[in-house]
Amino acid sequence: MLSPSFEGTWEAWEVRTALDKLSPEEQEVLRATHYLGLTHEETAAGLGVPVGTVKSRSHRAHRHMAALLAHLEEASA
Amino acid sequence: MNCEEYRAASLAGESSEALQHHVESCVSCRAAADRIAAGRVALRGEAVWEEPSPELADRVVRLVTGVPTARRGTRRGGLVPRIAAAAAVLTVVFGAGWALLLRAGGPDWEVTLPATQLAPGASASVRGWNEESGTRMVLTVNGLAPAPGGHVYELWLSSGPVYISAGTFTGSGDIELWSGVSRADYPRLWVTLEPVDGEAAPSGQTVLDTGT
Repeated sequence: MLSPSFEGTWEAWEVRTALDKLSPEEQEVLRATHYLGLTHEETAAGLGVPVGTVKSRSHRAHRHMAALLAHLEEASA
Repeated sequence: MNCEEYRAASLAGESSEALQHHVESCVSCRAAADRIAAGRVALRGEAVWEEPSPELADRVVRLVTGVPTARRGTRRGGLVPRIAAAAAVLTVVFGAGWALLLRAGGPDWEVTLPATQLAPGASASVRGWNEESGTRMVLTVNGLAPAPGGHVYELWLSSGPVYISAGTFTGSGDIELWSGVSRADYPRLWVTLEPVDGEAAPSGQTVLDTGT
């Protein structure tokens, strides 16, 4: 059985590898909302784009990320 | 809702009856729920977003191999070089796209703009970042009434009688504005209420002002 620390580190690595495959715009939104904890409105203000743009980028980014991380789910099944 | 939509929404941290209904009726998504949650946790972690320290790179290698990085040079092929390469990649993944949000954490300067008698109860501050092409500013305004019809608020920078506009806005909130000049050269910041009439000069109706 793998240790929790190994699993956490490995997941972080897999997530980071998946993030690298996203567009810079999608990465920005995920960083802002997940890591920095900003709302869509705050992210829009920081990036200088409409809130609707942030929401659509966020939706697209999460779909891409879910698809890119699907192999982790299969591996653990 | 299909599985793809569920997994994206779940990764985003959303919750709704539709999501709950889907996961209760979908064996595949129910089995994936823990991994999706782990992915969401990882997205909040520094390890995903920041450059790894030598200690973290060493920990990655040690976790996989049991061998500290200082000794891995004696091994060739197999997992160690792959993990070492992976750790190296961690240092170069993210580029200029993050610059704006990274800068948001540390302005080069910050100044308060007290309200004048024309805007009682209002307050504002400006955080500024000195850039090669000028100055990026985030103006945070509270308690300022929305600009009346046919009017906008305008932020100015000035030095003595010389002034330059940094852009317009319509009310309270966080507003990002740019100017092609440095605050070191134009130390006064002030906001006026302006009619939208094509006139380039400030109206004189000053509502917020650092003063000279």
